[in-house]
Amino acid sequence: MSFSEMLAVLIGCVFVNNYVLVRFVGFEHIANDSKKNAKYNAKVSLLFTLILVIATTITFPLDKWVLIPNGFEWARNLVYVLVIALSVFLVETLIMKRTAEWLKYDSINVVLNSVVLGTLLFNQSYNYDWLTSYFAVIGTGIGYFLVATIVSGLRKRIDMKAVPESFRGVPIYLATLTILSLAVYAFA
Amino acid sequence: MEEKYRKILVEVIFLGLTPALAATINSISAISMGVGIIFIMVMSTLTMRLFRSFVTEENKYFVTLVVTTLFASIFQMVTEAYFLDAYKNIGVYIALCSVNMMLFAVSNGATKKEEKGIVVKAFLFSLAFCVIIFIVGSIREIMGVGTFLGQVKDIPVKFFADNKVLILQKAPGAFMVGSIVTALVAFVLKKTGKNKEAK
Repeated sequence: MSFSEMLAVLIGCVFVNNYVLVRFVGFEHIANDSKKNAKYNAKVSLLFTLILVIATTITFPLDKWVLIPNGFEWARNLVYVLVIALSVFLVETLIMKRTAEWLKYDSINVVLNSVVLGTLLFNQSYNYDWLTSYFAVIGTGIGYFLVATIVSGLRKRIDMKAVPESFRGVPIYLATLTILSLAVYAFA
Repeated sequence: MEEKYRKILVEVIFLGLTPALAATINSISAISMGVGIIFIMVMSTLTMRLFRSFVTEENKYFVTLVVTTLFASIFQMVTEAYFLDAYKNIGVYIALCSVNMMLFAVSNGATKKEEKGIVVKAFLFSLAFCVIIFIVGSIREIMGVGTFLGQVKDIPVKFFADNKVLILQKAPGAFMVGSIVTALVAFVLKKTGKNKEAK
């Protein structure tokens, strides 16, 4: 892929093909976490991007040179999940504890966030090459931050309004995501 | 259903929606995903229950993750082999069931000794979830395409076949119908809860 195509993938992952709003990954974490501010969302998005970069570095060669040539595609999910767990462990021990304690986050929440596994699986299904996968991963990180920040801002406003009882909580957040998703759909 | 489970059902549905919303593009995909969730949830809960004496506090998250992923992979392979049409729509999302918060929470709960009848509860939760995503999928298919059970029976719905609500076949439509159905579920659960209290 040429550099301009890679840039298109990055911008696509932020707006047009935002994995949260178009591919439905990770929105439940955004709605649960969205009482936090933009700084918190930036921290979480940076953490996800970091983990995704490490996971992509491991999964891409594993997929290309081990799983596919040997017919082990059936084990892809398990391998990806284990690689994510390993990446979280690496980030926790090498980065969080030594240099960036401010990056501390509940590790099980990172592993269970479907945006991490989803991004790896979608990158694989779109047949992105190694370098393009990094662009997609960075785009996903920025896209996640964008959606999380908008939802947290909207949620503060929604919580102050008189919402019909049945729509309080989960349904109103889904309605909010509908409008956001419509906005993103307009880019396509 | 016990009161505490009724209260958390809407939250649980929300936590499980990640793979499910994408699968609700039509009723057959929705029911395939629903069956998948029943299979993964019941089997992983049963496995965790059977091997709970080997699971310690330190390794329980890891074991739950591996067990859930294994059953998600099994279901993915079976779908790919026998139901290729459904697999084309929901393939990646079955894999995402491995990190589904709803499945994980219930399977993880199976390791607690004080939890009784957890497998039955897991079955009922996943069955309720299956019904809900089938409703979402049916609404999206009927109003968005104008058919019902499209890949199997293909029952036309004339009014909507002439007046398709195309946005329902896209991502915003999934969120919209998901929002309305979860609000309805919350309303129904609240009403039934009140009626039981009155009795």
